[in-house]
Amino acid sequence: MHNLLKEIESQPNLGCCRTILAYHGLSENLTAPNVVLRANVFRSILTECPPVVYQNDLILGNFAGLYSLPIDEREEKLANTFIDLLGTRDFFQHSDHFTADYEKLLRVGVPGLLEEIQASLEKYAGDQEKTNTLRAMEICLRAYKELLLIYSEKAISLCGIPGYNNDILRKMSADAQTVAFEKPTTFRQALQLVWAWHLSFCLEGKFAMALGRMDQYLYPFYLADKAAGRITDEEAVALFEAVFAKIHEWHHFLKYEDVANICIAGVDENGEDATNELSYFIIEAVKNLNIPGPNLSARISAKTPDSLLDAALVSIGTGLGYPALMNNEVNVEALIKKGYEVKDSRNFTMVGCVENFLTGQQPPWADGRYNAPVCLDYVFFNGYGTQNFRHGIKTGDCSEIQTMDEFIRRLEIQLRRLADEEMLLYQLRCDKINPINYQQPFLSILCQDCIGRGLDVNMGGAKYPATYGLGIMGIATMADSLAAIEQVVFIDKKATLTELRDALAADFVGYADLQQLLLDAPKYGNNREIVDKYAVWFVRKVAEIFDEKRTPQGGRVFCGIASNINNIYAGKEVGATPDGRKAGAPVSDAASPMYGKDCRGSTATFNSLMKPDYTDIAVGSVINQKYSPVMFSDPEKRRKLLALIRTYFEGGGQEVQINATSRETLIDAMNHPEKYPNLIVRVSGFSAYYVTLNRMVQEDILNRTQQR
Amino acid sequence: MKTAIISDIQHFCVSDGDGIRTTVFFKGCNLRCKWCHNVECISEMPQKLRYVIGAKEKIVDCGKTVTVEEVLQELLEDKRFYENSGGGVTFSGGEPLLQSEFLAVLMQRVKEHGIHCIVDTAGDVPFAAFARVIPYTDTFFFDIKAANSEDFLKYTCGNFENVLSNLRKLVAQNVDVVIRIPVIPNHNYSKEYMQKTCDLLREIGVKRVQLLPFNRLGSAKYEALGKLYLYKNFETMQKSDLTELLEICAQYFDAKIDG
Repeated sequence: MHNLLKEIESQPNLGCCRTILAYHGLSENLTAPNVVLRANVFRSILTECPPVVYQNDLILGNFAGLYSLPIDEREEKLANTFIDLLGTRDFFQHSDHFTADYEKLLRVGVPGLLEEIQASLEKYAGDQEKTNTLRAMEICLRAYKELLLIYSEKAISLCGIPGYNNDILRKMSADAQTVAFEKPTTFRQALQLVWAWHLSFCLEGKFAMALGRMDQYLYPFYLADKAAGRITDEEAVALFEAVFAKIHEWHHFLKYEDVANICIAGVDENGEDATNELSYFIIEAVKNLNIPGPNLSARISAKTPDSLLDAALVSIGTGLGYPALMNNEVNVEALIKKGYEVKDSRNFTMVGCVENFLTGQQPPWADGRYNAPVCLDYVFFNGYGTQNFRHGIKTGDCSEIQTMDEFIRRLEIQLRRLADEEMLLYQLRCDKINPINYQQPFLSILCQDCIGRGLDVNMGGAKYPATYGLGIMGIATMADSLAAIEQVVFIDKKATLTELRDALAADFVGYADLQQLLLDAPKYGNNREIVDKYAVWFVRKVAEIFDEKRTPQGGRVFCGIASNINNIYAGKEVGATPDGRKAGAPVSDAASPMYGKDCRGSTATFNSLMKPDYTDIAVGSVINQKYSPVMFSDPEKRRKLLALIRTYFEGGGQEVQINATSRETLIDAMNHPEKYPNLIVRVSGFSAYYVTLNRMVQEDILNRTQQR
Repeated sequence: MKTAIISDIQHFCVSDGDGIRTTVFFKGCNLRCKWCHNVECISEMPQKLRYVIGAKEKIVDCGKTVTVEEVLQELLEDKRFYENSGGGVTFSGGEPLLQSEFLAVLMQRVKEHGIHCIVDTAGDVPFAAFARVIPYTDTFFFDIKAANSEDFLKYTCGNFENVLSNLRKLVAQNVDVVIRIPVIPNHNYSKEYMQKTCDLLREIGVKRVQLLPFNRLGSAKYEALGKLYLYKNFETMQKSDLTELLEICAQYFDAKIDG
């Protein structure tokens, strides 16, 4: 394990003292306007948090200090009374999941940002609200500057202490001091500025703040250093490692991950390939660390060199699964379709897991869940949700339905109503708070054009208004269910819709034969038109439904075919479905076929997945695929995987997250074969389902998959 | 022949030739090699494989009658993947050339779409069967399972002279041939034997050789068919077990280990 990771994992954890530090700031000026109160809170957290410098670090700043102070419970209780009432926006109210305009931070530096705020303060001198907002931004920026100086001083004070490297301490200290007052000129200085900014978000309590296109905004500094002979490639990789290792602090102190999305490769504003040396270094650093915190994504364009995709596959094959592969063209096109400028769309990043984001130009992300499969319940049971007790529209008794078209017509009515219901939920959440009292001055600084307009990010400061995303659940459950109805009821006429309804109501108890017929019907992911056409329809329909909606700020509403693990919770709200799925069981995961139902090989799976028009899906989508480790370790086989992905992306696939089937998986499959019906073993002229093999042979295969 | 009997069509095969391939497994074989790992492809009759998975039995039907059009449509599904990866279609089995009339018609149709075709054969068929498919075949994968008739008969029930005669004719006609040698414990898994095999192949004039490490992955299929598998207790070989044998082959041929 990396030394810095070891050092992080050995830090004491006395509990988080953020609330107490926040109260100190709040009590500095009790009569300040709300936005200034918030800025004071931000300042006290940043400047009173004890600086800690790791012995193995190369870039200053971490949040170990936040967990290093003994906490007086009475003091915390008092502080909490105030800080709780001050409140923050929550995820649904556009609080975090944001990519800052780091390119600008590096271009103008701290002094440039301060000047800009000053100019705006003068411009809006008569406007009290804007003045308050801008003053708050200035306080935050000065606090950030102070943070750099505190660390600079701390580093110097550690010189001579055993375990520390004096040269490195001096270098880090000098760089932090320089960038507090001047624009950065070197790679180290640039990385220091960006990391301190991300750290400030973390100290403030924000989560899933993306680091964005690090290979792009840092590249000029790397080139300058290279030209001046100031940096080697190994040093650049080591610097990235130092920064990414600290993302692991979340894991250590909070027991969950800071889903800090890092986006590499893709295209520049002219649409040309943007891959550079740093793209490779970042993959290398993430691979070397082998931790889940830095959520690495690669934008793969038709112009991206094979060598980058190959480096990505090598990293994935270590068992890490990173980077996730995003189809650049499909995602850019999806954003352009939503009305964003072409150059802004080409500069998109991801926040959180996969959510597409207009870098530094929109308020933080928010999204909800759209549990489409409950609409099947509503159609069968005349507007009643058998598991979620919610109501749809009374579209009539299902015995009246004579054709597939009629079923689809009623389904669409239910889908539209559910969309309205989800939008209302979101609207009510936003309406609950008065934006002027929930401003985010620090975040606004690096969102175009908050400073220039003197406005908070959620009050018209951002170039683009807030968007809302819907995680669309169960594409395969929907497609499989509709295909099963068409096949069993309308083509083969082996059951009536009423019989099917009764079977669903009984959760198939007493209807085993009918359930088997439904299970045997064609399933999504096998390149079968009878079912794939419903996936195509479904994507087009949900995109159409939500395209008409707007957020309270007037922004667009995006669909995502992604579920994280929400397909499990979503499934609990859905009764038995015509694909043969039992009530309460998970619905299909993200944009993938129903687990275990795609059994004609990867090409057939991808052939199905390429059919829906994913340029209608502006959030993004997720496909999980697994391959045996030999597919990654053998260069010849890796080329085949590469061609598979290229073909999938050429054909309009939006995203794929690949994992190497680990030894743990194979062992688990030996013990729980029912969980792995489709795990395939392939050798020349031979292939078999792993779970059909006897134990001795399974062990043979296990021996072939020794991970390096 | 309007129809053929096959056991399966497998997509995204990555070990049956260059690039991404779809492999058609024909049912029916005339050699019955004792180590066969596709035992369900030996009989040309439909069969049921009964697997025991945990406490459950899973029954898999093996053997379906297909038309040229059906197979063609399925092979065309992955055309874009073949093109992007330099792949194509592999006809394997069983012995695909036992159904050569069907195969020739199918391959003619496949070639109309410009798709790369490999025929994976053990070679013990009348040369007329080869002649039918040669016009549409880009590469033959041609198994050489022994260095002489005597050894060949010990492990198979075929005619080695016929195999060699066919191979000589293919080489004489300048057809692209890749020799595939399954490396089997207690049979040809020795430097001496590999040398003998290489000598034979040099004399015939082949250029490319691939070694296939023994595997016993098929043993579950024997059990599922209720058959005895003689190689059940031999361990699956690793690529690294064949390093020395590869060195011998590499002296004379463009050689590699596949599998």
